Amino acid sequence: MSISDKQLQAKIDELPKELAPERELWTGIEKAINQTSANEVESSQKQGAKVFMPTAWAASLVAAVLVTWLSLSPSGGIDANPEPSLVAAITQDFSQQKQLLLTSFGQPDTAQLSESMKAELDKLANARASIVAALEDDENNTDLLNLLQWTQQQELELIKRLYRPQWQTI
Amino acid sequence: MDRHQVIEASDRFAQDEEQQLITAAQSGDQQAFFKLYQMYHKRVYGICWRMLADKSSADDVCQEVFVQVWQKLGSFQGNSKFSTWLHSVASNIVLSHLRKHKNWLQRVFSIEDQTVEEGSEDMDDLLELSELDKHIMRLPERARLVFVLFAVEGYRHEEIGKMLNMAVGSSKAQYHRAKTLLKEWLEE
Repeated sequence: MSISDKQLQAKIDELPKELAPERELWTGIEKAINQTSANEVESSQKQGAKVFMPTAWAASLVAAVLVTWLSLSPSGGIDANPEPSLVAAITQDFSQQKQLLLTSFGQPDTAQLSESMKAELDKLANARASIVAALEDDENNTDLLNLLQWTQQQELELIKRLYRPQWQTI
Repeated sequence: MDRHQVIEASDRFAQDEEQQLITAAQSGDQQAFFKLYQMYHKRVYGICWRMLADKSSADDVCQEVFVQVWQKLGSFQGNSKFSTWLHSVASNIVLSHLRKHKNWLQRVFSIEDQTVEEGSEDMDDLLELSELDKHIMRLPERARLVFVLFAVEGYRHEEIGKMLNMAVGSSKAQYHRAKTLLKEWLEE
């Protein structure tokens, strides 16, 4: 009996779309997925370590500039301005950005960060606080204002790198 | 609400549910990804087994497909149906697996692939297959790949040509060859 194209097509149409594996496959997939994720965390931590080097350098630079500035500037904070200052506006803007960023990452618990990561964040926060303190004596100092904004930006960048979800980096 | 409307509503519900699972899996929810696996693994396994004609390789490649889908899920933008995207990922991984595992003789001398003798495959592995599927497994590799992609998976010869790095005419010729062999075997 010879088979026509039509008869062959009928047999093709009858083919089941699904075939079931005999072996249970999910366990292996799950293991591989978790292994991949673990490797990514490790690699992101290694990458993080590379990030910390410029961060540490940035924090040191801020400290050095501040020490120099404080030693050369005239002492005494006179004529404190009761009006909302530029520093206050920049600080408030930064706080909002930081809060927004942390909210977008689901308010992560910083206590769960490794000691080295916490130390890096602390360094930047301390540098920022020192600049703000210095600005209290000279609130219109452009160099210090620029330094403050730059330090804030470094802190935001670091937070982004620390908490960015894994799948976005694939 | 008539029967047609009920079916439409049910389809919409299923699509919404699938979209929710995809979004959750994209955010790293493995439970949602497991549900997607449950929905699609038999379909993916079917593609793998038919294209590879080897049960053990199909197991491994099916796992590889889902691992890679998990990694690439972030790049799925929803421009096509998820099932279409998944089939395309699966087909490409199977082809990549075949390229990697081509033996050195085939690589060096480009030996034309041979048909598999009936009964040479472990019969236990083929018991559950339909008569046509058993014959598809016997087809020479290129004819089998073209046949499965064109007749079973619904790809066009132009698409198959790109996937297999062959001319459109060659894809059509391989399909004709597959059909002739299958008809011959079905007539026996």
